[in-house]
Amino acid sequence: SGEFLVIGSAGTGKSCLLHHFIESKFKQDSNHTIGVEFGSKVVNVGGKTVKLQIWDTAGQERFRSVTRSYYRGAAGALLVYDITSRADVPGDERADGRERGGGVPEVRPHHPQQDRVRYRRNGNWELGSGIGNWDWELGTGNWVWELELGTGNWNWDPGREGLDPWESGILGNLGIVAFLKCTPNVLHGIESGTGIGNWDWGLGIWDWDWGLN
Amino acid sequence: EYEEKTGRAQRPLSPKQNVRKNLDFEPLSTTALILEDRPANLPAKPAEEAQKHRQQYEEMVVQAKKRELKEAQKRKKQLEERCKLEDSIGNAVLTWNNEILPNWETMCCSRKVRELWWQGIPPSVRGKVWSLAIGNELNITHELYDICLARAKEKWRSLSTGGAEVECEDAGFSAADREASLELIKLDISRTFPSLCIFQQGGPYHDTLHSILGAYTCYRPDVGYVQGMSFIAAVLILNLDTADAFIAFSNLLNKPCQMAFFRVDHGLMLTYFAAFEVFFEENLPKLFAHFKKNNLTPDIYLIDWIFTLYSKSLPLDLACRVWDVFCRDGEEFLFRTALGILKLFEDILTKMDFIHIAQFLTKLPEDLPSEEIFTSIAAIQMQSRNKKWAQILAALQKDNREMEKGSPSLKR
Repeated sequence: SGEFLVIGSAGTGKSCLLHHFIESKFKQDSNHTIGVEFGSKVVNVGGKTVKLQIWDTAGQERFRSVTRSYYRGAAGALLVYDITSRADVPGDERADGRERGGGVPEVRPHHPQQDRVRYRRNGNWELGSGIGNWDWELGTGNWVWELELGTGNWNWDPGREGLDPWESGILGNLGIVAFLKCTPNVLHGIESGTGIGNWDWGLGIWDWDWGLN
Repeated sequence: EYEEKTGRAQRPLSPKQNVRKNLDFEPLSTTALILEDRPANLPAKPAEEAQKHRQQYEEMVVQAKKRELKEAQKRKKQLEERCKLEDSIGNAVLTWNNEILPNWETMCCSRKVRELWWQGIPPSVRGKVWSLAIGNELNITHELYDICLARAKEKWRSLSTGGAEVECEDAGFSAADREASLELIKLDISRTFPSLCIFQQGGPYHDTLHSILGAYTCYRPDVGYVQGMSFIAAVLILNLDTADAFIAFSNLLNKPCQMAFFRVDHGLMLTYFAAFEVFFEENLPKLFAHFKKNNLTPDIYLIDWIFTLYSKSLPLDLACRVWDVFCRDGEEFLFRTALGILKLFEDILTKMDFIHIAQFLTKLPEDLPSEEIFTSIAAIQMQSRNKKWAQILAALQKDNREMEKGSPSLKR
């Protein structure tokens, strides 16, 4: 089995995404996660059965020290962020806060294809859209997958203005695509016995040596 | 048509109803048995068979009556118990209002009061008792609450108009962080007891919850808003007026355990978990070993339980009972409750692997029986080798400090 983290800022929809992945339905009346919650699902990838143990973490930056202590045993992670919130988007100039000890905000462009994730148009941050982009993005063979949720805060207020990704059906598919596409790498991590287990707290997840890929 | 049907169905019973009138229960459908002879167009039963059938029929009726009587007695007992419970709640309210509350200082620690307290505080006096038990060490007045709230409102206004940056840069938190935490309050309020529909936008307590959390970020900018607080404030709002809820909220969060957690002082949290594990091993050695073997550390389930004082993970009425005794016994009761829950489910937990235990404990069954939980908690001893919770915790804290001094490289 593989330990798999879901990380990202508060209100980006980590728990709803997980719920949708496991139950295949939209979750209403969602609480915010304190600490960590769990899900598990058996998935079949290339004829191999993997039991994913999914750790759904609290989003508030204050909890990062707790969340980071879970990086150690994880084989993979899904980073969920809200593209409409500048502070959330990896690589944003405001987000170079290693000294603030953040997890998500410390994400830096680490990958030649990073720019493709950012959807910056005319100087504005815009909604990520279209499953095609996602498939393509997910095909890069990265260890930590980045999933953009376009509308922010939608999980507790589906009536809010703007596109509801669950309603539109995009996100429902995305959630599943994102998890499944990650799995070969989780598997790799388990099989090679390395996983991301050697990560050091001080290093931060993004300085990890990409050589294993 | 329905009436016609039911009318017809009842008709064959009517001659018997006279007989049954003296019984103080309604006949169940199972006793509506009627012994019939064969239809006229068929040959009659032989006398022997008819006799046998009559006998069988009478036996069936006797059995059914017995069953009915038993059930009626059960119902009667349940009703009596409910009346008794209602009476005892009524009596408890009188005792709390007339005897205990007016003489709080002298009576709160007496054995009789402590016992009554364990039974659960009646909802109508709950808020008062919580307030008194939590106290007001911080000497917060209603006026101070108004001042903090006014400041919070000013901040919200300046944020919404996109006005000047928030003036002061205090305690190492940037304006951006605090701005984010004001946003987060808004987001979390709607995600606090969402099924109750009273804290959500447009609900009766939405503004109250918003006000208390906002005022607290102004009162304690060094702590700010931390997820989990909204649940605590919400439970207090359900039992107290706004300003009193704020006073209880601030004083509650000022307690050492709550401060350690809400500041997310990871080192100190680990010390609390270590103290918890001492009592875990003492009380439930088998389950403790099973958890160890499965690498199931206490942070996995305790963080949620301690941060929200069980209000998110237990049914609200049960959570309030936990709060009752938490107000009486202090932080150790939070950990005792955790052990009580583990004890109650010890048998099934011992059969589970890591992920199932983790899932079970982070999402407890919805129909937790409160009496059983409290019986289970009562069986937990908060003494380990003659040492009490506070002593164990203090010893662990001292060890930590010495270790830090001894090896500066571990200081981080």
